[in-house]
Amino acid sequence: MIEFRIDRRSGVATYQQLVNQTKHALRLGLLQPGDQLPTAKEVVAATSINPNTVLKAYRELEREGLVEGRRGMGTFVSASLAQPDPTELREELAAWMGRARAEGLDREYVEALVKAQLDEHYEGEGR
Amino acid sequence: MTWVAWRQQRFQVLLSIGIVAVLAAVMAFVRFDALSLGGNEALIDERYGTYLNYLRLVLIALPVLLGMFAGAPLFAREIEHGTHVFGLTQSIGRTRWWATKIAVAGIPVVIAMTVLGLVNAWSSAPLQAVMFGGRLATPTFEIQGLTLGAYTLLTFTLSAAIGLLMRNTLAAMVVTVVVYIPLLGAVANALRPGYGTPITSRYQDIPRDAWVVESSYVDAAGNQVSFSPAGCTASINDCLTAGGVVQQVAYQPDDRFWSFQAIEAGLFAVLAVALLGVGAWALHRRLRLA
Amino acid sequence: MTTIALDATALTMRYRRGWGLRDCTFQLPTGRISALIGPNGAGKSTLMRIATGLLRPTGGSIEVLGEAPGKRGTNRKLAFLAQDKPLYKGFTVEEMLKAGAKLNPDWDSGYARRLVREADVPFDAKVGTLSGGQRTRIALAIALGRRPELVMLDEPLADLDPIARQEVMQSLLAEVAETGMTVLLSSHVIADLDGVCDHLLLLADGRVQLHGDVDDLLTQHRILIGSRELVLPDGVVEARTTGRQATVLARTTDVPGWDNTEPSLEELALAYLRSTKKVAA
Repeated sequence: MIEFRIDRRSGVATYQQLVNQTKHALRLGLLQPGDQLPTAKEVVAATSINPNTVLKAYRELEREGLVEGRRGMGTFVSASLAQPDPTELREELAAWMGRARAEGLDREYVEALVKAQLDEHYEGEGR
Repeated sequence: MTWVAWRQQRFQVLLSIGIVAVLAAVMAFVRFDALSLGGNEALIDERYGTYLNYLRLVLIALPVLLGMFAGAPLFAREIEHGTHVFGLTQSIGRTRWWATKIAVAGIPVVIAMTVLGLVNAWSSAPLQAVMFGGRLATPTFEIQGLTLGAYTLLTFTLSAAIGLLMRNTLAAMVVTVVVYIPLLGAVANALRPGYGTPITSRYQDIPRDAWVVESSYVDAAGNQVSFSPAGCTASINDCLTAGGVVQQVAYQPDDRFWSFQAIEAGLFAVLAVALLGVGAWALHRRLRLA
Repeated sequence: MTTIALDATALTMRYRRGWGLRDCTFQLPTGRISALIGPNGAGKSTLMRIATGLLRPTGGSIEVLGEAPGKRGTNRKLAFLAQDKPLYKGFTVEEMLKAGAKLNPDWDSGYARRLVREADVPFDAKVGTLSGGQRTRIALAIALGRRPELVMLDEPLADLDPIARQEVMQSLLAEVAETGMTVLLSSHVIADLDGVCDHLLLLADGRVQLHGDVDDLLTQHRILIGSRELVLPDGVVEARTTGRQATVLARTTDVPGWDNTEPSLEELALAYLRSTKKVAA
């Protein structure tokens, strides 16, 4: 079971936070197909958010094919987001980081570079 | 709603009934004890003179006290505490809320006081001989028979209506006292003597316990004359005879007691109904609940 | 079944001194949690009291779930929790529940008792001895015991400590999640309502200043930051300048040349409230 944390100051829409946290848990394998998501009542009782927001987030996850609602029973995980470990890519990135460091780029500059590339390649896919 | 009103008012109602019950018990004892004295007026006066004085005080005050303490807070305190908002936002109508509270708080007290008046009429019968002025005169008329209940009904409906209008318990009590006392005096002095046509006779001929409502001096021809006993050198009677003047009185005989009681109780009941109308009007038109 | 919880047309309430509501027209949808926001004296309580039938408007009309407030008490599908949470002080919690049962034919005793148990308040406690939070929970249990389709709460969190605020809000929202009832919640503390409400009714000075779905309203507005030399777009709600910089809240889509961000509920509401205050001043 997953427990949601809502950060009201993040600027990210509340329902999006629920979607992101669910996906994060799916990616890390904390949620697996067949697992149940907390009911709307459980979520709002823990987080003081609007129940409609929870339903909206669950509908979004359902639309993406990640979960499915079973009438009278709850919402269950139906797909996995765990990805194959990209060993090769990770090694290439590590090598790139090493070069950046050797050339004297500071941390903030590297972060800005990476973020700019992320924004370009993953445009419109959320933060 | 009846249960809710009873739960809210029960202390008040039970306390009032308790006070009345104690007084009724004392009255019953007094009757039997006074009867055992076998009509000896001197003994009765000696034993019960003080009792009668206190009883008059208590019974004059009791209708306004019980009526006011039941009526003034009935709505005013709810409004002061905001709890009328609870009562009026449930599934019962405003009129039922009002009427139930009136009935639960008012009816037991009014009935108890009416019973007390009747008990006092019964208890005071053997003491009548030592009371001054007969049963029709103030304050005896006010404290036995039907009047106690009628006065209580009036002070209760008056303070309840004022409480609803003024939304303040203390103000409702003050207004009740300020209105009730002059009203009682005005009724006793201006209206009660006219409940029946008085009987006219010579002063010497009035029956025992009659209530003299008017007195004048007339000459042999029946014309009113002015006569001042202050100018007499002999006894007043000699003076009167010498001048050919007779003291003439108009009186209400004692046997009209119960019909007068009924008239006065009816009068106060009509006033009380009018006050209930004012309360109902205030409930629907004036009760600002913001 | 109607989809409009509250339907007001030119609703007006004139008091002996001044206005309570002036010509308010709006509709609140069912199945939502609507925020009624406005400064003290904006007409929030007046609006709720008209809907319950406690007050009669001096003009216009209102329908509660399709019915005009009548004389037979408050609409059975509507529950109201007044700001001071009026309960009979001398009653025990048990007696208060009994009063709820006696005054409401559709009373759900099991449900009300469950809510009291969840609030952890003893049934034999006198209402007068309860803390603010407990009192609010009991008042809420009695309001919900009527099994309303619409519940209106007037400043339910005012004068509660932070933990009680959270508990009251969580228990309310949990019941909303379970029953799907419609809620109208007033507050002058906007932060209390952020994330909770999905519909907004902003009152100031007795008038409706802003009204609609919260997400829609937020996407329809922008906070613009840029040079004060820039041309202002249409739909400016509030503009402030500091030095060379201008900060503008406007009802608009992205405006080129400015730094565009969507406002938060609090920023949006405050901008509207400040702007009406300036007009009135």
